[in-house]
Amino acid sequence: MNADLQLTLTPIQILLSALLLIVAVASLRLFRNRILYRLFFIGIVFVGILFVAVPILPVYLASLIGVGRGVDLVFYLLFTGFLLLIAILYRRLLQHDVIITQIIRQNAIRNHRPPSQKAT
Amino acid sequence: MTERVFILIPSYNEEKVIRQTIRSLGNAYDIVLIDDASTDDTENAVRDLPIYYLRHEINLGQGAALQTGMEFARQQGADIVVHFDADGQHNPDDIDRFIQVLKTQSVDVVLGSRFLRKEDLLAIPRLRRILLRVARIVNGLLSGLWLSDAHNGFRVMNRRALAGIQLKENRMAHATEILMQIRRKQLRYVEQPTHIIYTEYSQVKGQRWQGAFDILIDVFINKYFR
Repeated sequence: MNADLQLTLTPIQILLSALLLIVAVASLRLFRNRILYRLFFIGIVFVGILFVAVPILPVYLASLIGVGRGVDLVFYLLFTGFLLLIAILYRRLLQHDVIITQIIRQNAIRNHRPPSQKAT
Repeated sequence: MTERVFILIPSYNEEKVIRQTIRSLGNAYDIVLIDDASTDDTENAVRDLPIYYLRHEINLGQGAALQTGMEFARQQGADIVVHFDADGQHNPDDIDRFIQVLKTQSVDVVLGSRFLRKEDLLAIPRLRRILLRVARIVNGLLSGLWLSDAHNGFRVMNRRALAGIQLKENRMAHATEILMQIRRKQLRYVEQPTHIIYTEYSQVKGQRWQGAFDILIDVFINKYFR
Protein backbone atom coordinates (compact mmCIF):
# COMPACT_ATOMS: atom_id res chain seq x y z
CA MET A 1 0.00 0.00 0.00
CA ASN A 2 2.80 2.40 0.89
CA ALA A 3 4.15 2.17 -2.63
CA ASP A 4 0.90 3.53 -4.09
CA LEU A 5 0.47 6.28 -1.55
CA GLN A 6 0.15 9.60 -3.39
CA LEU A 7 1.77 12.58 -1.75
CA THR A 8 0.66 15.15 -4.31
CA LEU A 9 -2.98 15.84 -5.10
CA THR A 10 -4.40 16.01 -8.61
CA PRO A 11 -6.76 18.91 -9.52
CA ILE A 12 -9.85 16.71 -9.13
CA GLN A 13 -8.68 15.53 -5.72
CA ILE A 14 -8.17 19.13 -4.64
CA LEU A 15 -11.63 20.07 -5.95
CA LEU A 16 -13.34 17.15 -4.18
CA SER A 17 -11.47 17.81 -0.96
CA ALA A 18 -12.48 21.48 -1.12
CA LEU A 19 -16.14 20.52 -1.66
CA LEU A 20 -16.01 18.18 1.32
CA LEU A 21 -14.48 20.92 3.45
CA ILE A 22 -17.30 23.26 2.43
CA VAL A 23 -19.79 20.57 3.52
CA ALA A 24 -17.94 20.30 6.85
CA VAL A 25 -18.09 24.05 7.47
CA ALA A 26 -21.76 24.19 6.41
CA SER A 27 -22.64 21.32 8.77
CA LEU A 28 -20.85 23.07 11.63
CA ARG A 29 -22.95 26.16 11.00
CA LEU A 30 -26.16 24.19 10.37
CA PHE A 31 -26.13 22.02 13.48
CA ARG A 32 -25.70 24.65 16.15
CA ASN A 33 -25.70 23.24 19.70
CA ARG A 34 -25.76 19.69 18.34
CA ILE A 35 -22.38 18.23 19.08
CA LEU A 36 -23.27 14.68 17.97
CA TYR A 37 -24.52 15.83 14.56
CA ARG A 38 -21.38 17.95 14.13
CA LEU A 39 -19.07 15.10 15.05
CA PHE A 40 -20.98 12.78 12.73
CA PHE A 41 -20.56 15.14 9.76
CA ILE A 42 -16.95 15.96 10.55
CA GLY A 43 -16.25 12.22 10.73
CA ILE A 44 -17.87 11.64 7.34
CA VAL A 45 -15.96 14.54 5.76
CA PHE A 46 -12.68 13.37 7.30
CA VAL A 47 -13.13 9.85 5.91
CA GLY A 48 -14.21 11.32 2.56
CA ILE A 49 -11.10 13.48 2.26
CA LEU A 50 -8.94 10.57 3.30
CA PHE A 51 -10.48 8.36 0.59
CA VAL A 52 -10.08 11.12 -2.04
CA ALA A 53 -6.48 11.87 -1.09
CA VAL A 54 -5.46 8.22 -0.79
CA PRO A 55 -7.60 6.30 -3.32
CA ILE A 56 -5.85 3.04 -2.52
CA LEU A 57 -7.15 3.23 1.06
CA PRO A 58 -10.77 2.14 0.35
CA VAL A 59 -9.40 -0.62 -1.94
CA TYR A 60 -7.14 -1.82 0.85
CA LEU A 61 -9.92 -1.63 3.48
CA ALA A 62 -12.38 -3.37 1.16
CA SER A 63 -10.05 -6.28 0.60
CA LEU A 64 -9.34 -6.36 4.32
CA ILE A 65 -13.00 -6.83 5.27
CA GLY A 66 -13.95 -8.75 2.15
CA VAL A 67 -16.49 -6.52 0.38
CA GLY A 68 -14.89 -6.60 -3.05
CA ARG A 69 -13.87 -3.33 -4.66
CA GLY A 70 -13.08 -0.07 -2.90
CA VAL A 71 -16.03 1.58 -4.61
CA ASP A 72 -18.30 -1.08 -3.07
CA LEU A 73 -17.05 -0.17 0.38
CA VAL A 74 -17.68 3.53 -0.26
CA PHE A 75 -21.16 2.71 -1.57
CA TYR A 76 -22.02 0.60 1.49
CA LEU A 77 -20.75 3.27 3.85
CA LEU A 78 -22.70 6.00 2.06
CA PHE A 79 -25.86 3.90 1.96
CA THR A 80 -25.66 3.08 5.67
CA GLY A 81 -24.89 6.70 6.53
CA PHE A 82 -27.82 7.85 4.39
CA LEU A 83 -30.25 5.50 6.13
CA LEU A 84 -28.93 6.51 9.54
CA LEU A 85 -29.39 10.16 8.65
CA ILE A 86 -32.97 9.57 7.50
CA ALA A 87 -33.74 7.75 10.77
CA ILE A 88 -32.24 10.57 12.85
CA LEU A 89 -34.07 13.27 10.90
CA TYR A 90 -37.34 11.33 11.01
CA ARG A 91 -37.03 11.04 14.77
CA ARG A 92 -36.51 14.80 14.98
CA LEU A 93 -39.57 15.27 12.79
CA LEU A 94 -41.65 13.15 15.16
CA GLN A 95 -40.43 15.21 18.10
CA HIS A 96 -41.45 18.40 16.30
CA ASP A 97 -44.85 16.84 15.60
CA VAL A 98 -45.34 16.36 19.34
CA ILE A 99 -44.41 19.99 20.07
CA ILE A 100 -46.68 21.34 17.31
CA THR A 101 -49.54 19.15 18.53
CA GLN A 102 -49.16 20.46 22.08
CA ILE A 103 -49.16 24.08 20.93
CA ILE A 104 -52.21 23.58 18.70
CA ARG A 105 -53.99 21.71 21.52
CA GLN A 106 -53.32 24.33 24.17
CA ASN A 107 -54.48 27.06 21.78
CA ALA A 108 -57.67 25.15 20.98
CA ILE A 109 -58.46 24.67 24.67
CA ARG A 110 -57.57 28.25 25.62
CA ASN A 111 -59.63 29.76 22.81
CA HIS A 112 -62.64 27.44 23.07
CA ARG A 113 -66.08 28.85 22.44
CA PRO A 114 -68.45 28.04 25.33
CA PRO A 115 -72.07 27.08 24.74
CA SER A 116 -73.84 30.14 23.38
CA GLN A 117 -77.15 29.11 24.82
CA LYS A 118 -78.83 26.25 26.60
CA ALA A 119 -81.40 24.69 24.31
CA THR A 120 -84.88 24.56 25.67
CA MET B 1 -75.03 15.37 42.78
CA THR B 2 -75.45 14.58 39.09
CA GLU B 3 -72.37 13.59 37.20
CA ARG B 4 -71.15 15.57 34.23
CA VAL B 5 -71.10 13.58 31.02
CA PHE B 6 -69.03 15.03 28.20
CA ILE B 7 -69.62 13.84 24.64
CA LEU B 8 -66.47 14.36 22.57
CA ILE B 9 -67.02 14.69 18.82
CA PRO B 10 -63.89 14.99 16.69
CA SER B 11 -64.85 16.48 13.37
CA TYR B 12 -63.23 17.20 10.05
CA ASN B 13 -65.30 18.66 7.20
CA GLU B 14 -68.61 17.34 8.49
CA GLU B 15 -70.62 20.47 7.75
CA LYS B 16 -73.38 18.50 6.05
CA VAL B 17 -74.20 16.22 8.98
CA ILE B 18 -72.76 17.77 12.12
CA ARG B 19 -75.89 19.72 13.15
CA GLN B 20 -78.02 16.64 12.85
CA THR B 21 -75.53 14.55 14.83
CA ILE B 22 -75.37 17.11 17.65
CA ARG B 23 -79.14 17.61 17.76
CA SER B 24 -79.64 13.86 18.00
CA LEU B 25 -77.80 13.92 21.34
CA GLY B 26 -80.39 16.07 23.13
CA ASN B 27 -79.65 18.40 26.02
CA ALA B 28 -78.62 16.07 28.81
CA TYR B 29 -74.89 16.18 28.13
CA ASP B 30 -72.03 18.62 27.74
CA ILE B 31 -71.12 18.35 24.08
CA VAL B 32 -67.60 19.18 22.92
CA LEU B 33 -66.99 19.53 19.19
CA ILE B 34 -63.31 19.40 18.28
CA ASP B 35 -63.04 20.86 14.81
CA ASP B 36 -59.81 19.50 13.36
CA ALA B 37 -59.14 22.48 11.09
CA SER B 38 -62.09 21.86 8.79
CA THR B 39 -61.95 23.72 5.51
CA ASP B 40 -65.73 23.73 5.09
CA ASP B 41 -68.25 25.81 7.06
CA THR B 42 -68.47 23.55 10.12
CA GLU B 43 -67.81 26.45 12.49
CA ASN B 44 -70.83 28.44 11.33
CA ALA B 45 -72.99 25.35 11.01
CA VAL B 46 -72.83 24.84 14.78
CA ARG B 47 -72.50 28.45 15.92
CA ASP B 48 -75.96 28.67 17.51
CA LEU B 49 -75.84 25.25 19.18
CA PRO B 50 -75.29 24.92 22.95
CA ILE B 51 -71.94 23.17 22.69
CA TYR B 52 -68.30 23.76 23.48
CA TYR B 53 -66.49 24.45 20.23
CA LEU B 54 -62.74 23.87 20.01
CA ARG B 55 -60.76 24.32 16.83
CA HIS B 56 -57.32 23.05 15.85
CA GLU B 57 -55.49 25.62 13.78
CA ILE B 58 -54.02 22.90 11.57
CA ASN B 59 -55.30 19.43 10.80
CA LEU B 60 -53.77 16.91 13.22
CA GLY B 61 -56.00 13.86 12.95
CA GLN B 62 -58.76 12.14 14.88
CA GLY B 63 -56.52 10.85 17.66
CA ALA B 64 -55.19 14.33 18.34
CA ALA B 65 -58.71 15.76 18.31
CA LEU B 66 -59.89 13.17 20.83
CA GLN B 67 -56.91 13.88 23.10
CA THR B 68 -57.68 17.62 22.91
CA GLY B 69 -61.27 16.85 23.85
CA MET B 70 -60.18 14.62 26.74
CA GLU B 71 -57.83 17.25 28.14
CA PHE B 72 -60.56 19.84 27.87
CA ALA B 73 -63.12 17.56 29.54
CA ARG B 74 -60.64 16.84 32.34
CA GLN B 75 -60.13 20.54 32.93
CA GLN B 76 -63.89 21.08 32.99
CA GLY B 77 -64.33 18.41 35.65
CA ALA B 78 -65.96 15.70 33.57
CA ASP B 79 -67.02 12.54 35.39
CA ILE B 80 -67.75 10.50 32.29
CA VAL B 81 -66.53 10.94 28.73
CA VAL B 82 -68.04 9.52 25.56
CA HIS B 83 -66.23 9.23 22.21
CA PHE B 84 -68.80 9.82 19.49
CA ASP B 85 -68.33 10.05 15.70
CA ALA B 86 -69.38 13.21 13.89
CA ASP B 87 -70.84 11.48 10.85
CA GLY B 88 -73.91 10.12 12.62
CA GLN B 89 -72.79 6.48 12.57
CA HIS B 90 -73.28 6.00 16.29
CA ASN B 91 -76.57 5.53 18.06
CA PRO B 92 -77.27 8.20 20.73
CA ASP B 93 -79.53 5.72 22.56
CA ASP B 94 -76.44 3.65 23.36
CA ILE B 95 -74.95 6.40 25.50
CA ASP B 96 -77.14 5.94 28.58
CA ARG B 97 -76.99 2.17 28.26
CA PHE B 98 -73.18 2.26 28.18
CA ILE B 99 -73.05 4.66 31.15
CA GLN B 100 -75.24 2.26 33.14
CA VAL B 101 -72.85 -0.58 32.34
CA LEU B 102 -69.90 1.60 33.35
CA LYS B 103 -71.48 2.14 36.77
CA THR B 104 -73.11 -1.19 37.49
CA GLN B 105 -70.23 -3.38 36.33
CA SER B 106 -67.57 -1.23 38.03
CA VAL B 107 -65.40 -0.89 34.95
CA ASP B 108 -63.36 2.08 33.73
CA VAL B 109 -64.04 1.77 30.01
CA VAL B 110 -66.96 0.42 28.01
CA LEU B 111 -66.04 -0.35 24.40
CA GLY B 112 -68.60 -0.65 21.64
CA SER B 113 -68.62 -3.79 19.54
CA ARG B 114 -70.32 -4.61 16.25
CA PHE B 115 -69.63 -8.31 16.63
CA LEU B 116 -71.69 -9.24 19.69
CA ARG B 117 -75.15 -9.24 18.09
CA LYS B 118 -76.05 -10.78 14.77
CA GLU B 119 -78.04 -7.76 13.56
CA ASP B 120 -75.07 -5.41 14.22
CA LEU B 121 -72.71 -7.79 12.48
CA LEU B 122 -74.88 -8.07 9.38
CA ALA B 123 -75.05 -4.27 9.08
CA ILE B 124 -71.29 -4.11 8.42
CA PRO B 125 -70.38 -4.08 4.71
CA ARG B 126 -68.76 -7.39 3.74
CA LEU B 127 -65.30 -6.09 2.83
CA ARG B 128 -65.14 -4.03 6.01
CA ARG B 129 -66.17 -7.06 8.06
CA ILE B 130 -63.25 -9.07 6.68
CA LEU B 131 -60.86 -6.18 7.29
CA LEU B 132 -62.10 -5.76 10.86
CA ARG B 133 -61.54 -9.43 11.60
CA VAL B 134 -57.92 -9.11 10.44
CA ALA B 135 -57.52 -5.84 12.37
CA ARG B 136 -58.88 -7.58 15.47
CA ILE B 137 -56.04 -10.09 15.32
CA VAL B 138 -53.42 -7.37 14.72
CA ASN B 139 -54.88 -5.34 17.60
CA GLY B 140 -54.77 -8.39 19.84
CA LEU B 141 -51.14 -9.09 19.03
CA LEU B 142 -50.07 -5.47 19.50
CA SER B 143 -52.13 -4.55 22.54
CA GLY B 144 -52.63 -7.88 24.26
CA LEU B 145 -56.35 -7.10 24.43
CA TRP B 146 -58.39 -9.63 22.52
CA LEU B 147 -61.66 -7.92 21.76
CA SER B 148 -64.47 -8.95 19.46
CA ASP B 149 -64.24 -5.70 17.45
CA ALA B 150 -61.42 -3.47 16.23
CA HIS B 151 -61.39 0.28 15.73
CA ASN B 152 -64.89 0.90 17.00
CA GLY B 153 -64.96 4.59 17.80
CA PHE B 154 -67.80 4.42 20.33
CA ARG B 155 -66.35 4.33 23.87
CA VAL B 156 -67.43 5.48 27.31
CA MET B 157 -64.91 6.03 30.10
CA ASN B 158 -64.83 7.25 33.67
CA ARG B 159 -62.45 9.69 35.37
CA ARG B 160 -59.89 7.03 36.15
CA ALA B 161 -59.58 6.13 32.48
CA LEU B 162 -59.68 9.79 31.49
CA ALA B 163 -56.74 10.47 33.78
CA GLY B 164 -54.82 7.41 32.60
CA ILE B 165 -55.19 7.55 28.83
CA GLN B 166 -52.87 9.95 27.01
CA LEU B 167 -53.02 9.60 23.23
CA LYS B 168 -49.84 10.25 21.28
CA GLU B 169 -51.11 8.79 18.03
CA ASN B 170 -52.50 11.78 16.21
CA ARG B 171 -54.17 9.86 13.44
CA MET B 172 -56.24 6.69 13.19
CA ALA B 173 -53.80 4.46 15.06
CA HIS B 174 -55.14 5.98 18.29
CA ALA B 175 -57.77 3.22 18.41
CA THR B 176 -55.06 0.60 18.87
CA GLU B 177 -53.15 2.90 21.21
CA ILE B 178 -56.19 3.22 23.49
CA LEU B 179 -56.27 -0.57 23.87
CA MET B 180 -52.54 -0.66 24.60
CA GLN B 181 -52.99 1.95 27.31
CA ILE B 182 -56.01 0.22 28.80
CA ARG B 183 -53.79 -2.80 29.28
CA ARG B 184 -50.72 -0.90 30.48
CA LYS B 185 -52.69 1.20 32.98
CA GLN B 186 -54.62 -1.88 34.09
CA LEU B 187 -57.98 -0.25 33.42
CA ARG B 188 -61.04 -2.42 33.80
CA TYR B 189 -63.02 -2.74 30.60
CA VAL B 190 -65.97 -4.49 29.06
CA GLU B 191 -67.43 -4.69 25.58
CA GLN B 192 -71.04 -3.91 24.82
CA PRO B 193 -72.98 -4.38 21.61
CA THR B 194 -73.54 -1.27 19.55
CA HIS B 195 -75.20 -0.67 16.23
CA ILE B 196 -73.32 1.31 13.61
CA ILE B 197 -75.34 2.93 10.87
CA TYR B 198 -73.48 2.72 7.56
CA THR B 199 -74.92 5.47 5.42
CA GLU B 200 -73.67 6.26 1.93
CA TYR B 201 -72.18 9.46 3.38
CA SER B 202 -70.30 7.72 6.17
CA GLN B 203 -68.91 5.09 3.83
CA VAL B 204 -67.58 7.69 1.42
CA LYS B 205 -66.07 9.66 4.32
CA GLY B 206 -64.90 6.62 6.24
CA GLN B 207 -61.51 4.93 6.25
CA ARG B 208 -60.27 3.19 3.15
CA TRP B 209 -58.92 -0.32 3.51
CA GLN B 210 -55.45 0.97 2.53
CA GLY B 211 -55.60 3.05 5.69
CA ALA B 212 -55.13 -0.14 7.70
CA PHE B 213 -51.51 -0.31 6.55
CA ASP B 214 -50.92 3.31 7.58
CA ILE B 215 -52.34 2.52 11.00
CA LEU B 216 -50.09 -0.51 11.36
CA ILE B 217 -46.97 1.48 10.40
CA ASP B 218 -47.96 4.36 12.73
CA VAL B 219 -48.36 1.97 15.65
CA PHE B 220 -44.94 0.41 15.00
CA ILE B 221 -43.19 3.76 14.59
CA ASN B 222 -44.70 5.17 17.75
CA LYS B 223 -43.98 2.03 19.69
CA TYR B 224 -40.33 1.74 18.73
CA PHE B 225 -39.10 5.17 17.53
CA ARG B 226 -40.46 7.65 20.08
